[in-house]
Amino acid sequence: MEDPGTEITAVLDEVRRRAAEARRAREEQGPVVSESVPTALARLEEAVDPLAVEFRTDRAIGRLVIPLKRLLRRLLTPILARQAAYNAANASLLRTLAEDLEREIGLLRAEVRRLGLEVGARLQALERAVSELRERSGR
Amino acid sequence: MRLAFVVPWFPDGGGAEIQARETVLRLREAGHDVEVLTSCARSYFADWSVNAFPPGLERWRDVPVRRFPVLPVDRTLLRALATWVERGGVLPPADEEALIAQLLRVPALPEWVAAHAADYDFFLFTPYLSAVAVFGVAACPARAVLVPCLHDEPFAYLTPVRAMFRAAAGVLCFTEAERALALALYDLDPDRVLVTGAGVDPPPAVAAGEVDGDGYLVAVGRREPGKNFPLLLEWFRAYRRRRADGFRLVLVGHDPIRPPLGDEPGIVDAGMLDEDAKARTIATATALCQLSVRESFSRVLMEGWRLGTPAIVHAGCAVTRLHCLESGGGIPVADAAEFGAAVDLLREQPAVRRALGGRGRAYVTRRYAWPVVVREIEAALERLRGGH
Repeated sequence: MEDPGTEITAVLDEVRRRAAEARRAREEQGPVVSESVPTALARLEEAVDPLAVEFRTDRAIGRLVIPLKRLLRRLLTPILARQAAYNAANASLLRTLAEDLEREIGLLRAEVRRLGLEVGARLQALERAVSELRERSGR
Repeated sequence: MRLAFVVPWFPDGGGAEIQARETVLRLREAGHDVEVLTSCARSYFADWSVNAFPPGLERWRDVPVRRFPVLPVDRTLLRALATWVERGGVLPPADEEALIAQLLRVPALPEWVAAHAADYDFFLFTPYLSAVAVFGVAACPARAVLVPCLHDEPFAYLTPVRAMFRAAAGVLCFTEAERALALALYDLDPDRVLVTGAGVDPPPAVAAGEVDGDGYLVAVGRREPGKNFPLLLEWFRAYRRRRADGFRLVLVGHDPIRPPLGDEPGIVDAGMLDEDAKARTIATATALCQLSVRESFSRVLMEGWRLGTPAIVHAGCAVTRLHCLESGGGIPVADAAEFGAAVDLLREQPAVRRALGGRGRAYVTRRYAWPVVVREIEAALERLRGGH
């Protein structure tokens, strides 16, 4: 006889229970966006310029390789400069989008809080009105 | 029965063409007179405007294959219209017709079908989305049977597609979920929309499926947004952020990954593997991931199950979700949290992994072994012939 814990319904229940736990844990940790995005953006901006990479050479063979390095740098510079411009534009766009997103999330949170308070106040008013009506009708 | 399978490409192509090719061979083994009508183009992945094969009659593994020449496709027009539809845009009728007309231009094929319709019991058109199918069905509606490989995508809503489904004498579906979709979309007579299943070969001989080392998930197939490939990467990355150990995602497939992965830890691009290596990779995986929501059958899922590997599928795909629930061999997941929970459960409880894999294997054998599917196709065609 099969272990009932391996039945598909039991497996699905277990997956849902664990997923709910993971979601709760993530909510408790707070939003991922504001923690990881600045770090990721900083890393991205650091690595914008591929020309900043140094060609390192062992001293013993340096004399032979230096002219080759110079030639390589001269050949690659226009391509790498173009890549650097592209990377910089991308990084800048991402920063703008991330900042916009964070601002929008802030506005949405404030709006949700405001609406929550408003709904709460309306509910209280309604409950008061219902109690008054009950008192008046004697029920 | 005398049958002609009508496919855009042969013998290479996507899942639909491969399924058609194998079905042709099995129906011939069962004693039916089956031939193939197709284009001179190489495959779905090659240039649709190039005649890679000579026109006329040839033989492939003793199967008569009749080829018809292709005319150049207007790629700019095709891309523009297809992208518009793919993004949910609506086209005027003339543009819908223009889009269909560019989905492989083989005008001589439907002309030939119209002239020879009486010589065959049925013409089986597969898949639904090609000019070959739309114009071919119109050329012989009373003998046209669609094997559509239908899934819920914007192209399924085009007016010429609807007209094709309504004109065909019958529709053979791989699954109940595909049948339900066809009935819902096109308001068809239920008696002529039949489920046959799709045949799956027995598994190749590989070592027993014990999880390899730290374990890994495997995903097989096309690396494109339509197959939810980016979502798989996103969910796996979320998993690794929570639990960054030696567990990996192994990707098997031939097309390039965009954007490239670089040296991202935990994700391995195994590229194209031969059948033996692919079978070994699948058999020793913790689970096979199939997150595509555009499936009419999912051969990939069956490849995993026949080797005893459990599956993780997207809960938003009616076809794969039902396969999992009916077989008890896989876990449908709706988001990254459920994906992570399913992976953890399968890693931590080998008994669950083995039980799910075993049930999947039994399901494939019971439902989709070739003798079973050939009998279903024969019975379905006999029913449709009764309606001639």
